[in-house]
Amino acid sequence: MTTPNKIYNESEFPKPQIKWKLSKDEVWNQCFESLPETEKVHKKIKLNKFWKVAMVASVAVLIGFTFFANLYTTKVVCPIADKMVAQLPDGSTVNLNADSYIEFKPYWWFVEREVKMNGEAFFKVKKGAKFQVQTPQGTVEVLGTSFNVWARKKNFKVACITGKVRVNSHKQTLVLHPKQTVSLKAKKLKRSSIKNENASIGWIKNKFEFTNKPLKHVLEEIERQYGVKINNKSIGRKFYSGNFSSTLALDSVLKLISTPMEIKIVKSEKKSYYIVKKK
Amino acid sequence: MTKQEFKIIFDQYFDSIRNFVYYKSSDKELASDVAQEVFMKIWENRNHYHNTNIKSLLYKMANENFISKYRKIKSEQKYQNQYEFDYSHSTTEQDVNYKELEKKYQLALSEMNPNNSEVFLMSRVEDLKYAEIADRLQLSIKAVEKRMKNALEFLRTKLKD
Repeated sequence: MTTPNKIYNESEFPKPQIKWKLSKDEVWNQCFESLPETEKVHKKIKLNKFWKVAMVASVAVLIGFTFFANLYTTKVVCPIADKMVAQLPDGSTVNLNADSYIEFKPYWWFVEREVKMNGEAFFKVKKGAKFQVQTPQGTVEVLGTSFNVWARKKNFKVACITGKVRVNSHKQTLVLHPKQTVSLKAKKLKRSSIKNENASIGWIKNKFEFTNKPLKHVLEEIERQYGVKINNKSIGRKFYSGNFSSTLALDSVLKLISTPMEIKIVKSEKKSYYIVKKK
Repeated sequence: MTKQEFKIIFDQYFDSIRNFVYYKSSDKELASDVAQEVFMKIWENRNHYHNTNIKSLLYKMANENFISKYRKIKSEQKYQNQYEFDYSHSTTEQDVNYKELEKKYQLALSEMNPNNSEVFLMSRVEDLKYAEIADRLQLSIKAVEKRMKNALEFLRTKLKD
């Protein structure tokens, strides 16, 4: 034993000793010798921490994505004097008439197929899970079908072209089969058969057909298709039967309409017209 | 850390740690328990010590473990015969009454400020240099010297007749 480098002379005091029951080596053999040294243990500890973090992270991501997917909405707007076709994530398509829009959640589509709409749209729905269209006045439920929905202001009309469709409105519900249509009359759903398919869905091909429709209604459609304003549409309670193609020039269409209705449609400013009774 | 590396640390410091707790408690069972627990903890966390000063960590852990176990030490049992003595290297005179000296010595050690007695015992029992004590207890060398000085002065006072 080397002499320690000490400043003070401690050796004037006797050296204390401690007598232990077990020596260091005995303690080792009893407690530590048998400890397993496995790479596995080492890895397990490391993995646990990693997996814990990974799990928490992926749960957080999952929750975050779910929130996002359920909130992120796509809106497709078809302006006045326009027509468009929208694609839905599963391949279903929606034709939009002028002044209409649809809203849906693209990332939530495979959980729920739900579309909000206003205006007029023709739906071609791919077979699959429940497909729902929501409008202010009612909802339409589908299973692999094509149907036309009219939801403007307080009006709500559904025409079923193929497949089957369930229509709900004001606590009423009914199922439409092909060639059937339903509309709201004083808040009641009234079913009838489609007499003229072109009247319901001709707009997709730019064909507008009317059978005994109030002139106001016809003029409103012209307004939408051509982006013009026609004033005092309510002149007279005229009913119009006829058709026109929106590919025609506005003047031609106005002439077509006004002749049988005995009115004159006069231009006041650019894109603004008013009606004058003939006679 | 491999088991081999762990054994090296065990062989090097187990006795010191066990002694250290004994200096503080004069309780052999407690000292053994604490020492074993401290080394077991080191083993369990063996993969987390990369740049650690294991030596001073051992002392720190032993101190904390001791404190948590032994809030109040019963004074009576404590300082009775806690040390045997080896007189072969001491420079005291041969014709001393050993029994009486022992009693005075034990008493003096028990009455001494624990900070000072700790340093004194580490030096006297384990023959550690001041620099080494400083490293283990994470003190400055000057602090160690001061405590040693105080310890010796205290002993001299207590043991003079």
